[in-house]
Amino acid sequence: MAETPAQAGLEKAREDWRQILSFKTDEKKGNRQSGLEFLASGMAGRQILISVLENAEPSYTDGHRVFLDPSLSPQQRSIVVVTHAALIAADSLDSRLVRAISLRPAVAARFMAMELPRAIALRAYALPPALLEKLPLPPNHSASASASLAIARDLRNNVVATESWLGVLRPRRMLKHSDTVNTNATAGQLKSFKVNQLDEHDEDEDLDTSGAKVMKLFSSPLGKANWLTDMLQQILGMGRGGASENDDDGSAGGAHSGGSANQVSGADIDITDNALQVSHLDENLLLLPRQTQWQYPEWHEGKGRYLPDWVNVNELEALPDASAALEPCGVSMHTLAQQLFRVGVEFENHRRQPTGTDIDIDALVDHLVDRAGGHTHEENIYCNSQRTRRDLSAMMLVDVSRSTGDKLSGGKTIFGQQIHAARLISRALSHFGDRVAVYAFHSWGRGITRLLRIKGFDEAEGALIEKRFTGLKPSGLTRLGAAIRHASFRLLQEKYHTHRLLMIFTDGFAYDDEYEGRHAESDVAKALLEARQQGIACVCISIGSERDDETLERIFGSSTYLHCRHVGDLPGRLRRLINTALRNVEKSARVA
Amino acid sequence: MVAMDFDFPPPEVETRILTEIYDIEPALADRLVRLAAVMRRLEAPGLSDVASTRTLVATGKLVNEGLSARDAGVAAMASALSDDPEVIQGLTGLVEEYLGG
Repeated sequence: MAETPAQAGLEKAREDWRQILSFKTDEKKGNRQSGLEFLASGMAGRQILISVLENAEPSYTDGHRVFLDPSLSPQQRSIVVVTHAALIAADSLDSRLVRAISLRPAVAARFMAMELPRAIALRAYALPPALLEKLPLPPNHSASASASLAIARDLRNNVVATESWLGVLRPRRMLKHSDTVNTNATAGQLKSFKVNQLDEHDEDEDLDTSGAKVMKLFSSPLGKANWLTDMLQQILGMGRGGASENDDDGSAGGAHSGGSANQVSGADIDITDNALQVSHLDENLLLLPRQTQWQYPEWHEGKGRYLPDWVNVNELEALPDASAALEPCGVSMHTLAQQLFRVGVEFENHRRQPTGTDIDIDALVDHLVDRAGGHTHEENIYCNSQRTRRDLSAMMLVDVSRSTGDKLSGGKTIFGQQIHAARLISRALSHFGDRVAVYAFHSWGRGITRLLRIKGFDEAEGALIEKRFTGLKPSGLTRLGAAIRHASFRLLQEKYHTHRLLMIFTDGFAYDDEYEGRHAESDVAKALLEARQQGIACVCISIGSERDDETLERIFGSSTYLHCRHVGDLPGRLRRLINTALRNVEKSARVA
Repeated sequence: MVAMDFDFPPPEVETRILTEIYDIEPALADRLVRLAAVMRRLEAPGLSDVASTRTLVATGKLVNEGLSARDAGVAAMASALSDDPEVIQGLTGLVEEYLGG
């Protein structure tokens, strides 16, 4: 059969396509690893990472990461990943259940054998058929995870074991992981120094004792640690030295004022020499400013005036870290997006419309004048009320001070929940084309208030932004006023959008060196007033804490302060909160 | 005012849409629907759009035009849904898991 020109053209197009697509085949290896991560995350409905173990030992998961036995074949790896992700998705690895099987490996194995068929059945509709065929399922039946547990515990019951290459459950790894997520970053990272004092870590320690432990560690592994110790004392506000020096230098002003900032930037150079080691200690130190970028005043209620150039503010890029995962929060971006879709959407009276419910008198007069003058225009002489979405620039300011790392009931942290909420809202708003920025902030006295840029207004959502979210660690204190002033400054640079929104996530009221009680309260109230006068709508959200924070509510006003026990409560309440704030600002603008 | 909630069709219905309306091979349709189910639960950053039924139709049509299932999936499902190189790489791996070989 002779080929028609159309067929030849089609064949040519196919060939082109093959060439275009073939370059991706070359990267097959990298694809596999991240493909497996996507497979696991899609199965589990939350982010799951994949690592290959160094030595041949049974695969397992700690609930956030699947560790693979290196001796498995590629297909076996896929199956193991699917197996463990399905167990996570089926809530088989709920901490209550996992506690019940910990220290009893035989029961753990029986439990896994009982749960596996149930977990796979739940996700069977989404499994690749090739894997489904090869997946060896033991013929065990159970209706729920707790039923499986009951059967597994009673050793008289006959449970068909799973194939050994599918891996094992390691309850203690799971519990350990859920206990240590984000609680104390410093402790976790110090382990890489093989310093054993910290192995069993007390979760309830406060800032001071954790600081003291850090000191102790610094003096042992690095012999010449004196300058480091000094610097840390400055930063952590420990010992009289750092704090009082700060006071003495208070009036210095200038581009490079605070004594502590000076010393720190000097030390910074030393750190970079040891970058490899020190980055394990506290990557925050690497980010210390070489010089102060901005200075903001602070309101002094007692004196009734501003303290000029009082707080040094630096803006830095948050360090990306791909190895960590966000705490799960049980809300999907799409749920939130459905709610936020209507943020800022309201009926607005549009003038000079071709059709409408009312006559626009001005337009009518103009039209008649024009017509009398011999011009003919279109008859856009009506008013019409239409639902429209306003342009919006939104900035999220997330408190990442040390206190947000505290554990909540259920093993989550305020820090983790706040970060997750900010990420979801940021993605939802970006999805609608709003301009969104996300900054984290913390401080060490008025010499160092840092805003970590997770996402700038001009940065697109993507893997890098995600890594900056996961790379954050709680540390420092909260000088909220300065953070608000800097965020306002950034928001006001958004020239093209008329609606500006500042969302502050914090666990409680501002506290910093010489920044507490009445003084802090009045300064924050003043900073908010400044922001609102400049047309920025401000809302405050606390997630996770047990009860409302009265001070926050008093300062922000009850209509623009939202307290949620869980991120899950957010979607239902966020839209109203934001709309109220936007409307308040608009009203006050009209009055002014 | 009326609001309606739309969700993706259940897997059986979606498979029928692909096979009966768009003449996509039942075995391929089955794989596509499974792949979509995983992609819809995936919350990858930079993955701005989820895999719609329309995406599956586009993939199936490319296969009907002679592309391999894997290449069609990469073109219509991995590269089409994100701009982020890392996300595309992950999606490509995922597509290969379902449509490759």
